[in-house]
Amino acid sequence: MNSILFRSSRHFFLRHPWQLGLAVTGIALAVAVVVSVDLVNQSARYSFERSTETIVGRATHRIVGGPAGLDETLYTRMRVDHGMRDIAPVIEAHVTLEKNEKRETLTLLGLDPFAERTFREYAWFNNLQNPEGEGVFIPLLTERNTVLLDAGTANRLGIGRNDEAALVTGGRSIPVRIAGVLADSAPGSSQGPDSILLADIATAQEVLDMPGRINRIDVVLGDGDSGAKSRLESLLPDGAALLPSTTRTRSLKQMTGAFHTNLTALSLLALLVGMFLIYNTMTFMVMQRRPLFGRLRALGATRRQLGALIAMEALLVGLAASIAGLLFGVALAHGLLQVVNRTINEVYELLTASNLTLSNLSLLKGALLGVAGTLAAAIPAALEATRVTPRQALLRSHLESSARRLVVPTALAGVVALGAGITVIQFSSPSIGLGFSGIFIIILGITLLIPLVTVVLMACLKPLLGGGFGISGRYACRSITASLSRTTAAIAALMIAIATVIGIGLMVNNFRLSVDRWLQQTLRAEMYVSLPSTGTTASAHALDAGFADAILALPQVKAVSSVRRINIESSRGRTELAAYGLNEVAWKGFQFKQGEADEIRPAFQQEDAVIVSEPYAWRHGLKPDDVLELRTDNGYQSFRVLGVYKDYGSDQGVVSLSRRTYERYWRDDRYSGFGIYTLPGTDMEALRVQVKQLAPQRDLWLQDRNKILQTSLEVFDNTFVVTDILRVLAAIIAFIGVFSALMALQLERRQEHALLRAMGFLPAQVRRLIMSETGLLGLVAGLLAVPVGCIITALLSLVINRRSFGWTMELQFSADIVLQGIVLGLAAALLAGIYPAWKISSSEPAEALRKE
Amino acid sequence: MAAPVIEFRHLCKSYREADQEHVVLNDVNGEVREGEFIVLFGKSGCGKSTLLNLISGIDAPSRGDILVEGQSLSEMSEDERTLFRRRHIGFVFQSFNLIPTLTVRDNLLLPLELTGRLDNGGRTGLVDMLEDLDMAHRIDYYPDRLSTGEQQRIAIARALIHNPAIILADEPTGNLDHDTGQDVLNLLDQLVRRAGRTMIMVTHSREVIGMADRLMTIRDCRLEDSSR
Repeated sequence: MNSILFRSSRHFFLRHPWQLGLAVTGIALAVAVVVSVDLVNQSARYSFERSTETIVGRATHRIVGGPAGLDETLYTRMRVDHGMRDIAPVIEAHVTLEKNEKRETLTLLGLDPFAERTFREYAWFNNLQNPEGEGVFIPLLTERNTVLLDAGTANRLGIGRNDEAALVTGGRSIPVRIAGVLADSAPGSSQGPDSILLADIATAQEVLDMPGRINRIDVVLGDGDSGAKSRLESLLPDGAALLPSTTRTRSLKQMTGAFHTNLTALSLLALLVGMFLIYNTMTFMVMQRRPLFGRLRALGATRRQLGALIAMEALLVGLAASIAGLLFGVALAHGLLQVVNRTINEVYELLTASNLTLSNLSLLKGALLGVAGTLAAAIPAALEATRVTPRQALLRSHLESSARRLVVPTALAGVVALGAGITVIQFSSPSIGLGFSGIFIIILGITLLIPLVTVVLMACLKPLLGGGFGISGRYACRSITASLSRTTAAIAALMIAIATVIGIGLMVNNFRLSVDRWLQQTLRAEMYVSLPSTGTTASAHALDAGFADAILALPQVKAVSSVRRINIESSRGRTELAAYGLNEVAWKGFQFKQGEADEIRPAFQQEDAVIVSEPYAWRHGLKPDDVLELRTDNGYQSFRVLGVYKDYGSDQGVVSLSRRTYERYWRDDRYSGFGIYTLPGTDMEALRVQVKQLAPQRDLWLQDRNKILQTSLEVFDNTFVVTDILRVLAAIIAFIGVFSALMALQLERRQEHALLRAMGFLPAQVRRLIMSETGLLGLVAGLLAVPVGCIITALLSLVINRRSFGWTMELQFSADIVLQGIVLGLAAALLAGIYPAWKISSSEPAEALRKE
Repeated sequence: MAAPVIEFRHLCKSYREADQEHVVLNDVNGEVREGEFIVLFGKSGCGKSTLLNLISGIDAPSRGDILVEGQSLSEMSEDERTLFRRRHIGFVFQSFNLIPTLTVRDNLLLPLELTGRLDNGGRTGLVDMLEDLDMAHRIDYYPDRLSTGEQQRIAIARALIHNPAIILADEPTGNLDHDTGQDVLNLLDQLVRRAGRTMIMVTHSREVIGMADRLMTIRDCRLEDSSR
């Protein structure tokens, strides 16, 4: 590298420190967003695997029963009578632990510490010690309501050994004593268990009110040991089954997979914005020095030398930005992880209090994006700057007249790209990658249309602005058209960023609207009652039929509908089953995507048939008249699929059947909840009190329809907090990008503005001129961002969400969001114009003219 | 004798550079009469361009006053000075200073727009002026597509198109070869002097001195009148 060339480059950056700073900040932010989302995804996945390992341990199989679990005597029989050693009884439930107004939802594992050596070494009695080495398993076995808590949760809740805390489950609060804290690092595991409350089987049975029952028996079977497997199976009673452990892990993985896919999709969008901004920044920095490069070429610098100089600059800027981006990305990931944890816990009812895992691969990806992306983004500008002859490089008009000559051919290429992008999207439905390629091509197409749209819009706006702002307005329009080489790049960068903001905003808005309408339609009862559920305990805690009868006997109650939710195995993996006892009104709550409600109902009530939710149908490729095998208390049974209904309640999907069918195949007379239909004019508050009095010892979850609607939408909004954060980050990146571009654009023209002042432009007119120019750029970007934003919305809604969650949603283009986008464009551009406007109008024109 | 159009009264201008006060003009006195062609002479960096900037109101004096057509520029606000300049002053710079992103037509329309004369008369005057300058065929050209002589002719046209009373020319031939410079001087002589306008020209050319009514020299920060 020629040192004098390098010095000239260094001098340029020293004279424009803000430009260098903004370039580095813009690129760093793009890197940070991608790295943070990647780190969050990796950490959540790692933590999920860890938590699965903590709970499943080394079990290869598990014996499961029906909704009421297994009789504990099965375990005793197998161990004592048949001498089986590699088996362990397990009770697993989600409970809430409260201490000093702090609360956390944890997995309560009821285990037999003597049987755990093969399964979960940390829970084996020999390893159950406090940090001083004193064994804690004796109080665990001998004392009532004693539990062990993992170190992380103990720390978060401020609980120590021998402290008392309240364990809340099934609407009851039970005092428990923390006999000890599980060591941080469990033997045989890379890290200790997290969000775990360990109890002896008997304690777990007591607090969960399931005397004599266990959830499952974990089993270790040797590879190919079919003899042992058959022997085991022969011992199982009716309704119990031996299943491989992998089915559970797979189901859980699928559950969070969709969420991670969606998060990745959003980070890809941020990446797209970032790449455009990096391109824009690099192009600006090279274009600005075109005359300098022309002079250097005239003095004998070769194309190769200039190319190397630009590459070196890009490399250094990319490196600096990547380092800053990685640091900020890690900090951002810490914050995002909290939000993601909350969402995963709330929506998926999985307990993954994940800590940030710094994956080298994620960091490498981010660094590569920053350095390679910046280098790649500098290539087109470098080629242009080095290909032109020295004379052409010195002529600004050459650049501008080339840009004007290319307006129509560029627009034609844009139309072709638009067509190609739409075609790709049409064939993209199975692939998220193809979907994004399509959207990228469409954005490219619209970007190529920018020069033409700008020229046309400026011609139309010139008389209008001339009327409003006089000469400043007219001059602004002329100047934007005259500097197409610069203005197009700034408009493109801003347009893409606003489109992303509009796109994500519209998608969330549409989704919210769909969920709201679905809830309005689905919730037919005036009040709902159930026991507070913390996930997998749903099948353990239940209400009985007598309670429903008591509600129905209340004078203001017209009817009661019921639901029983359990998790079962099916031919398609772990499946959530909902058994409904519905009246005419409640039945109308189902909105069928496939099948007719009136035709389905008789068969739903009478036959061995089910209806499946849209995500379930999508995930398992089911349609009406297909057959689904469900594991009942009588073994596997075939059920005909009658229809597919809309359901945003679970992205894993639900299989629903009538209560009558359920009772035919499952020996379970309990209920998860009831819908209460009241007579007109019922005092809901009085009814609430009356229903509560029917079960004074239970902490019932009792909410009216409106409250559920409100709570559901609050949960929805919480779920999309992370989306909103990414949306805001995209907006910030956009602002920095456009700020940098517009600052460069305006400060480059200091002399021109000084000349205008010399010719008689008032300082206010120069300010208006600059603000008009930046405002117009923002307006064009905002207007173009509307169709691109809508395309992004359609893609996110119809391809990404469908692919990730199986949901279809209504596409509605809210004027508010679109307006927000345009206002954002205008505001970002106007804000970016304030500093140059102030700086230029307040500086002495004589100074700028002297420096000429 | 014609009335003075420009009067300098104890005019001072200094700049602060780093921590040092750099005096450019000190106690400058003098006057320029209507229709006069003044040549401002002096070494490079002696303050000639600064004096032009002060006369036009682009720059403000540190002390003292300038009266142009009887109006004190020191008493005017920044905006008032700008409005005054817009109506009364035409500027020709050494480096032509045409706006690179505007065509010849738009460069010439700008002063007309600023002074509110962008009517049919103004547009016709623009075409006539370009025809007089033999530049009509370049009307849609961008400045950097013109030769240096052509650029300076357009810069002169722009300085005159709104019919100002005073023309300030800062080394208008400094970047031109001898013949082209001569053409430009003839043009200025024809369009400015014969039209009875006042002109102050900064130059190093001895030939121009011969064409001027009066020579003023800046020496040691003061203005010396070298009237012939």
